[in-house]
Amino acid sequence: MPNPRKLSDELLVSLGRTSADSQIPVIVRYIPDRVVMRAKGPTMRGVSESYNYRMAPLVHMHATPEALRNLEEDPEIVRIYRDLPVRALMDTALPIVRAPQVVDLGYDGSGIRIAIIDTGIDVDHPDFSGRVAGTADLVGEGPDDENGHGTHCAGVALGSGAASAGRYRGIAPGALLYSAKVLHRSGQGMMSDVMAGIEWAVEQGVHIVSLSLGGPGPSDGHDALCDICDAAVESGVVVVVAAGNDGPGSFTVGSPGAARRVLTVGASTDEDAVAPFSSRGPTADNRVKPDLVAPGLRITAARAGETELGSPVDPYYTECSGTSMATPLVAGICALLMQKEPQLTADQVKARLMATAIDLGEHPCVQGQGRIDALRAIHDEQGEAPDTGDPNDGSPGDGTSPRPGCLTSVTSLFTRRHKG
Amino acid sequence: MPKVDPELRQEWKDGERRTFSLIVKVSGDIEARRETLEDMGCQVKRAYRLTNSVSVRCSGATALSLTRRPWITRVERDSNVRAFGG
Repeated sequence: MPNPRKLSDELLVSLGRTSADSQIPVIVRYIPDRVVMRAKGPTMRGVSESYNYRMAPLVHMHATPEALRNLEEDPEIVRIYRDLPVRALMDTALPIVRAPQVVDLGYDGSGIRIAIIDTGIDVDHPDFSGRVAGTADLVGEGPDDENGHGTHCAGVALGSGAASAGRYRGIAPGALLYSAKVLHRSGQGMMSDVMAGIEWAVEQGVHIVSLSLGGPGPSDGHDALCDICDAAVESGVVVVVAAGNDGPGSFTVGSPGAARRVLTVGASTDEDAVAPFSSRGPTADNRVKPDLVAPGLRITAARAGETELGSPVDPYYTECSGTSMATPLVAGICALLMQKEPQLTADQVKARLMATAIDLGEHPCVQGQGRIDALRAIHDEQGEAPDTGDPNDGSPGDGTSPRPGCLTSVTSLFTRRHKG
Repeated sequence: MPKVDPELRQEWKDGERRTFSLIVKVSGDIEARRETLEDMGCQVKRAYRLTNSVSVRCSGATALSLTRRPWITRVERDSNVRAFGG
């Protein structure tokens, strides 16, 4: 009988599918200081060790199902994980949103300026080489990213993939990067500093502001942070904002995700479902949010030097999840669209992306208008109108109009699901 | 919409000597208002031209006096925000 406390869920699944003589790649965690002894060489039948990690008591090995059962009994072993393939941004998220097809048309965001308002960036990361056009430190820690969140977001939006031979390239690798550090190394900060970062970005003349941050919901979109986001849109800047990670409950979109004129982004999975953690509308004043969703689960992109955010892949990349990752992906697609059609206003960019999104069949307060599709946006393919899912109102939500039926509909939706 | 949330106003009353971080929306010239706010005892952190507002730190007693000025159109808490991924 497998010991669920020692074997990871993924490994338990693999065990049920593996023949007796096949070996499964696993990573074994030992109690501290015991891994040195393990490194002397495998002695157990059916086990072949391949790598001994120096920074943690971990050993990578291949083991047959019988050998794994024996390893489970080893008191020096704490946990056994299935070694899983990492997912590359280029390998999964980009094809889902059909960004490579847009790149093939010759659009890479060249001439577009994107501001990442976050924890700063690693200005020395090879993926941003020659494209960091401006930085500002609004928290007094220096512009370096000691958290890793801002660097990852920047990598998703516009990383070149230079440190991975293009494997972990972002959406718009021709765009210029502006970074305002408004969150401390802890990943937290104050609304007033975020407001200053947005104003700085507008003064720099950026085309797009990407905000993978916010406060708890619900918000009615009338606070100072929402106001400055809407003012930035009024000045001509596209503002893309994360919905938050407080799902699956309704009324979980906070500020600035609840701002009327921003493009609010929820997270979807590689299987085109809305991620359970993705925050849901309606807003406190019963408007539909998010506006759309984009892949935000296990996204590999740039890692800031000497940071441990997410699951590091190598010194230059790490894998993270959240609406934080979905947001710069949308910001990157905005850059592709604005390169092709520079005459579009900020409101028109938002409307285009919403109108061309792929309906996932969820309620508007869960998926917005659906999952973003870069190719449909570029070609303005609005043929099949996304289903708004609101029985009270057939018009698509644009974040500006109250939707009286939203509360009732979302509540009943979750009630139905909970009942199975 | 009220100029200030009643719960926040009550916090000021309960802690007149406590320091609060606030965002104050004003009408009129932002630089002139900034100077006036400093004269009233506010420590001004930043001014925002996009929204004609100012972030300040001040005591609860000063905050209560702000709401009596007709050129101050709204006062709210400078709230915490956090990153949404990892």
